[in-house]
Amino acid sequence: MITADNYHESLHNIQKDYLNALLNKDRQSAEKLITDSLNNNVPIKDIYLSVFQPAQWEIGRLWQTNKITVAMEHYCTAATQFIMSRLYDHIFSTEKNGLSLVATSVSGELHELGIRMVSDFFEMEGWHTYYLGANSTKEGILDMIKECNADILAISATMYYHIPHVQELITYIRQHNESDKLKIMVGGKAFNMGKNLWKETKADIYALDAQAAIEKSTEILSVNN
Amino acid sequence: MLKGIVLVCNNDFKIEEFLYNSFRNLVFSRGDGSLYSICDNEEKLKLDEFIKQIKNTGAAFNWEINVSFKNLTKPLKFSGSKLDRNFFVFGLETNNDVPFLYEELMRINNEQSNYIRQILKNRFMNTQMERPDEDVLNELSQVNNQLANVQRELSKKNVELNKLNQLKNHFLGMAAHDLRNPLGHIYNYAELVENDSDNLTDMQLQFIGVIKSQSLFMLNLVEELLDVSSIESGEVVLDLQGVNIVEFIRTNIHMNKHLANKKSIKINFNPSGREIFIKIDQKKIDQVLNNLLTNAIKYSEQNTEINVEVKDIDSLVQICIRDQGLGIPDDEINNIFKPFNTTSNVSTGGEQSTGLGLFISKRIIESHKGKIWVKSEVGKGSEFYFTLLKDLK
Repeated sequence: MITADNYHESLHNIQKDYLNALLNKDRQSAEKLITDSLNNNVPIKDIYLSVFQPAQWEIGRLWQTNKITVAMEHYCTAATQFIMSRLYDHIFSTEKNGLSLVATSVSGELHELGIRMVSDFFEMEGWHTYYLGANSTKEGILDMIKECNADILAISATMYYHIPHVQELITYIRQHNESDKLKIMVGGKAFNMGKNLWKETKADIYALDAQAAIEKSTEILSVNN
Repeated sequence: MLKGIVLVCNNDFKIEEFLYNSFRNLVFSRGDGSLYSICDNEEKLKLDEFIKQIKNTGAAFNWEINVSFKNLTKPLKFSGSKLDRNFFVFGLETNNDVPFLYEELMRINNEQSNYIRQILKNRFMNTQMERPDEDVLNELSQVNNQLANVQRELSKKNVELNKLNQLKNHFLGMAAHDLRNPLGHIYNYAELVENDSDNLTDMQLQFIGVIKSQSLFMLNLVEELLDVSSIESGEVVLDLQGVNIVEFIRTNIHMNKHLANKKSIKINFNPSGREIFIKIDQKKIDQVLNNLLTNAIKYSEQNTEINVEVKDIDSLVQICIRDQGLGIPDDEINNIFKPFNTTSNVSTGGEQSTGLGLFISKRIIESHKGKIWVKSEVGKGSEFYFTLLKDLK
């Protein structure tokens, strides 16, 4: 039973059990942990930040240190994506605030889970979100920005060597988008390597995670207005 | 041309020698001259594990580690092994370069290469057999990402559609509700005028009759639209009460007899017993019986019969209304329980149909956890069945 007193400890335990279930290839148990949490009135945002996010970081670390195979890493990510999709009905029911976000990963990037989580967070905050997969062309991204009159474009990169692609995309968008209201945000593991690395891309803002992305976007838009 | 680097490192993993470097036009920022100095800062943890594995097991294979050149970061597949007191390390752009590397090593042609070749060949080949195909995994991952994106979009659209549907039901309910009162007035005033028939011509009486029948039809339509709106909004609330279903049906038949008499249709009632007590929402089940009986009358010729049966089957009661009417064509029978679906049959007495009655009946029966179905043959008639739980909770 999750109570106010044991809330953080309970979430930590759920995260540990969730990770263990995935590493044991037990997707059903992992999913049950999440549905039980929802039934115990744990907010979806907390599930994202305290279960999915740390579990994915740990899976990434285990893969990096060769403790799990690349196949296992792919499985865990796919399972989390599937379990997240079961929460969509709750996520998309939020009343809208009129702001819109276009989110994408740079071409060739396989790690889309993080940026999709960011999009879901914006959706829960009442934004209209349009997530474009890593296979989208820069022309397609530009079209979407225009079509939905986007306030923020969020671009994610996990691999360091994808940063030049981010730079290239931002230059293209800046050259071809007439609206000056659009702000560009970058994020993802690639930018964690250097404090000012994001500035090289000429983005307007950088966010470390989903929560920070919401805060930074709200801040820059309120300053802008 | 092999793309990568081949190094010899000492026990502290300081680079002793570059045996091979295809990136010759790129300058390494060497730092302290250790293997760490050419690798990306973020990869230190991974490199620790890589070195630990070589030291503990004698060799490590295919570790993807980012290498930082002066102006470029590139992921290379690293493998390495012990070499007497030193360590031999190579980092290649792709796995496919490994066989080529052996050739290169042969070309380097020193004693070390043969030694390494011997160790590495077996170990690498064994590991390769156990490794999943990374390209296939990446491809699968991309497919999965795309599916996840499509699923996200679908869920979003689904929520939007549900909201629109709710809005539609709300609008439907509101419109129907506001139509009901004026229609009631039209019908009632037409009746008042009709009562004063002494001052009316035959033609005026005929017009009044049309106003009455049309406004009555519209009132029924409005009532049914309100039912649909409430059903679609998920607001079917049952007021369950115990009732003897045999008597309940008998009363309903009695109420519909005047309609049947107009067409000289005889309604027979054949219950399997005198009393079967069940729990139902009387108003709603009455609506279902009315709908099925009036349909049977509408689509039956004069001087035919309608048989109503009630059967007690374990925990269920099964009711059947069998007519000798027109029957429903095969290609229309699957649609009759859908809203606004009428068959191509024309009622035998010119009665009108909204196309909502059977849809509402189906939803009412389902809300009672029962089933409703039909058997029909063109020219012979139709049999409508429905079941009700005896002890619905």
